[in-house]
Amino acid sequence: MLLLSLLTLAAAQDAPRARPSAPPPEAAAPPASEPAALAEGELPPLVKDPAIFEFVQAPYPPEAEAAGIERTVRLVLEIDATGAVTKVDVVTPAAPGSVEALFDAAAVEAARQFTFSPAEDATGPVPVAVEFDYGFQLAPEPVPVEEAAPALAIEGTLREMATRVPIPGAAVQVKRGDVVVASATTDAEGKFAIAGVEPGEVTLVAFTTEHQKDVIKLTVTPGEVAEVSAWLRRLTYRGAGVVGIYEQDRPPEVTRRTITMAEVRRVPGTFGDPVRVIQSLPGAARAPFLTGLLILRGANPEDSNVYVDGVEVPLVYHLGGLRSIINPDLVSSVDYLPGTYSARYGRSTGGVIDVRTTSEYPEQTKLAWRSDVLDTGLFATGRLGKKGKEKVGFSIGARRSYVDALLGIVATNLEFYSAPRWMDYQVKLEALDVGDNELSAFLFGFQDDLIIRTNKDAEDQVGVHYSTHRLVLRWARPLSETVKFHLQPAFGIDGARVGFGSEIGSELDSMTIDLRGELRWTPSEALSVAVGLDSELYRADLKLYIAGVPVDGQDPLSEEEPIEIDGGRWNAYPDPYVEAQVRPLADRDRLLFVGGLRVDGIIRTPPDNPGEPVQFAPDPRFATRFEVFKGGTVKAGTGLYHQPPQNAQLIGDAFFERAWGSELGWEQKIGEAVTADATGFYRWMDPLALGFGLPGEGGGLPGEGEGNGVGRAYGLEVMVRHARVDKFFGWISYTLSKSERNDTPGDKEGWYDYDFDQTHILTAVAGYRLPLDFEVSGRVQYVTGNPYTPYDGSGLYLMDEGSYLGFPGADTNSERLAPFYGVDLRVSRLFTFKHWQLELFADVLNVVHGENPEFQLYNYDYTESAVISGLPIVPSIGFQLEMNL
Amino acid sequence: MTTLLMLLGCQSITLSQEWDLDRLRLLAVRAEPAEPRPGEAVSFTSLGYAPDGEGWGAIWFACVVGSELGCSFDSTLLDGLADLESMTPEEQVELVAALQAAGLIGFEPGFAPAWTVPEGALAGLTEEEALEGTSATVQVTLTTAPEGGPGETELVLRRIPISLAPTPNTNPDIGTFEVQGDALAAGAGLTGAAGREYEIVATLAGELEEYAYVTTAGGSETRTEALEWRWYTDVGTLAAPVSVSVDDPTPTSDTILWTPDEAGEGVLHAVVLDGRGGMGWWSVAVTVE
Repeated sequence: MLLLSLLTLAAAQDAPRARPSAPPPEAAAPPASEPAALAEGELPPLVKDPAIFEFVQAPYPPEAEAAGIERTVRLVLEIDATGAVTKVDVVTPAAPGSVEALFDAAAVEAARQFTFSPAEDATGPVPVAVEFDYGFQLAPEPVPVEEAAPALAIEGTLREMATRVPIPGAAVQVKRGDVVVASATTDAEGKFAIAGVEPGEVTLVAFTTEHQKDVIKLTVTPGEVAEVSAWLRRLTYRGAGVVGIYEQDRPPEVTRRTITMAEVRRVPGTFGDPVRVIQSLPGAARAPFLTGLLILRGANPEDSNVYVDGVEVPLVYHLGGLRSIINPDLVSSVDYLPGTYSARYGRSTGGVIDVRTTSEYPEQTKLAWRSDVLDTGLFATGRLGKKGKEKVGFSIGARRSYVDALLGIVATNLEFYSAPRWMDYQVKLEALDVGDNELSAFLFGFQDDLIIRTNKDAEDQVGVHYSTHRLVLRWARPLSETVKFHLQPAFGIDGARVGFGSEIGSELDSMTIDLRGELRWTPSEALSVAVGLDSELYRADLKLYIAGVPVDGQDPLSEEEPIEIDGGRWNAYPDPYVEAQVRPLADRDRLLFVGGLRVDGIIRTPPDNPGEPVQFAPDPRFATRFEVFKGGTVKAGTGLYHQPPQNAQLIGDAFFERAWGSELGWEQKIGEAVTADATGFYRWMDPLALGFGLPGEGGGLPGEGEGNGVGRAYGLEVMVRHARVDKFFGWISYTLSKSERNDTPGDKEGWYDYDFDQTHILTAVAGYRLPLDFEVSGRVQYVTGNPYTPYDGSGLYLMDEGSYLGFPGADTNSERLAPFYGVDLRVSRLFTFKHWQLELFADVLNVVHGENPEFQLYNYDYTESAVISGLPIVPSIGFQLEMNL
Repeated sequence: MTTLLMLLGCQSITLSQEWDLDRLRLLAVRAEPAEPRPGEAVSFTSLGYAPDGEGWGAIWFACVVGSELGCSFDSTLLDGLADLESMTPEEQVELVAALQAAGLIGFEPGFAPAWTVPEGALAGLTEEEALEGTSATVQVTLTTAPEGGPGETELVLRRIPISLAPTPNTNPDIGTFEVQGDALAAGAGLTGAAGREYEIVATLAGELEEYAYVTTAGGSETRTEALEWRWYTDVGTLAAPVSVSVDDPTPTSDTILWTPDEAGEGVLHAVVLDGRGGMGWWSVAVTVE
């Protein structure tokens, strides 16, 4: 522990007062700018001295005051790495029982309550010992003559750099030399005023425990007030904001995992997108090559649902899978529910991802501009209305990609190229002055196009287009002390268009009217019951045009005729649910039971809508968690899940797909920073659509029709996470799983590995904050290769078609691609100014250049094969600029 | 993005190309007449390729299968062909008769393929349906038999339309073959320099054929054949080896032949299909100096 001498400090006091005396002459700490080589056992030099944050006034001993005695008590304070005083010793104690001993006792008692900003060496905060002179001086006798109050000498405002937020409660000291001659504390608006400073040159020092101190030299002139505007730089700007990535349902809190926004933005390969972090968490399989597919706990990608603020959207990623559909600045949390989620979610047999948007609006309007090689985006958030009486909070964002534009420049002579093009927008307004009510409106949407240029003279001959728009209204309020409700109607339109020149075109336009509502009754801390509705009215209109379809589809010489389909239908999904949470133990957080029942339903509009007009399926769900001992929690859940027909299945007489999922796990806290989690899961899928097949065809109960397959997925998910403490964060995620399908239920030999079955998924993520606001982070990933079915021998040449017909091997998915391994790195540097911040970053994907086969590709006659590799070394550079107006 | 990465040279896939003749192939089969009637005799010619001038044999079957894929027969009958030379003449006649009953219409060399369309090929069709007709399948098994090792095999299916159409389809013929703007005489070869590019244009003899089509709704409409062109070579590299003119039918096709950097000899084939069962081709011997 280093022994330092401490600069003396003082506080404005009434008489009689204790006042520290002049500092001791010696200074033990070496200059930070001149680090010397350390001998063995020698402690490293400090780069930052401890600074007192809270000075506690000692009472003047009455006996001493009566006797007119003054004294300076020299103390040795031991300060730990958090800035707390752990030990106080008097260097030269007075004789026990003497009046001077009363000074010693008072000084020791007061010094124990001091708090400091911690001292730091090159490795970070360290404990130190300092000498401190605590002075007791009698106030001068009051002058009976007329004396004016001390003149105001200095006043000013203290704000935080970049955010421009006023800093309340900060210490402001006026020093002359090393002696503190006056001090003050900033008020709620960050303002301070200091009187009674003698004219002359002084130094003003402002500091808090969360900011670097600011030192300003100024001259106090008689009869004038010095105006000071001080700016404090936050010790770190990167710990702010928390994005919750939950592995389970949030309100019941069966299993929760939280990744902070500071971590999310620094995970390489995510491009700062919190939604993409899911791909580094347990239970999520690696999506193949730019597909952005969600493969959660072995379920089909189309069987997992994506929500934004509880409203279902068709895509979570833009085309190409590189960006999620919501601007990261607007995201407050991501609910990641790979399985056994509560009754509030349904119409899916796989997992659920619910992207939650923020409802926090800064007092200063904040503008953000983010650009990298993929896209550029603008974002603004703040409040509308008179200062202090703002009525509305707002957040507005928009992004647009330019990959297509770049390709248009570099690929002018290409006969063929393709590129995704996306744009999205978000507008959220929320009432701020409506008492207990919560009122908000959120409009968002996106448009994605896959631009395919088939020759240099004709653009967009081939194209894919998606668009989605949603308007979400929300009203929530407590009805009484025990009853709360919320209502969330939403309206949406979606469009999907696929065209291949004038030959083939399809347009699917759909409209959704959603209504979410919940009434929650919480009569005690032990019980909470919710009754809710998650309903949707869905209208789909399909137009299909194919210029030439062989009249006899099997005969290549058959004449062709055009096909035109134009039709639409309504489906309604009422889906009520009830859910109860019971916390029976006195320690309410120790044991939790969650029981729920959801009724999934389909109501069809006859006569053009085939199938049973009304069909219902009950989904019971149950979950529990129990803290067996401090830091050790067992958790379990099970439930039934039904999914109505979707996409192409809507055309036919289809019913529900169904899955039963269960999990059992253990969470363990290891110290303050580390948590570990191991969860085993099992999912049984029956019936399961075969490709575009129609489950439950033929009517009757789900599973009784023909054309169904079954599936099963099981495995173990492990995560060990070091929370972001000071400079480091990281986690290791491992999933051991098996996902299988059987297209001939009942045939035990019919099981085969699912197309995206990945036995081992190991991901390690770590980030470290370096001096000068540099930060580095890395991600290492190893994933078993996807299975595929090899072709046997050469193909059959169909001369009229001009193509070969391959013969897949009898054993489906009997081979596997080579494993995927990747190392991604990210380096960023933050620059902070008074009104704005600039972060420059570089993401480098696949720095070790793993070949990473993604697909098996065959030549024209199936006699040769090759693999399509994943991303090569891909550098991505960009910046984020934030301004606070 | 994928294309961007490929532009950056990050993705190179080297699989053999269909236009590149480097193995045993059957490129075209021409039936004469192109659209026979029941009871009509059909003869076949073919365009094949074997590397290095290697000889090859072919076994031909034909059957009326409608929408099914290929002819079905007892494949063990084919095993007997391997022992044909050791059989007595009576055994040979017996085997060939059994194979003919199974659909054998020829084997090469020695037995040129020829087929008489069964009289009942259109049985079950209405009078109107018979105008559009049905399809027969010609199934060809190509083999090479190099000394001292197993040969290559190529299995090919080719459809032959059968109908009572009053104006049956005819095979397309390539009338002119131009190299760098100069027409080649029939049977003439192409002699070029190494490492050069040559623009080749093939043009149909005569006009694009128009024909009457009876729609499934019972209507009748006049249609123009949409030609498909396929180019093949074993000397150099081809651009645009396949072209189809659906929206704007045209009687010509062009390609570019990049000759290799070294001297050599090879062939260049242009095959044209009319999409209705008709087929024709033009072959040129190529000498690179």
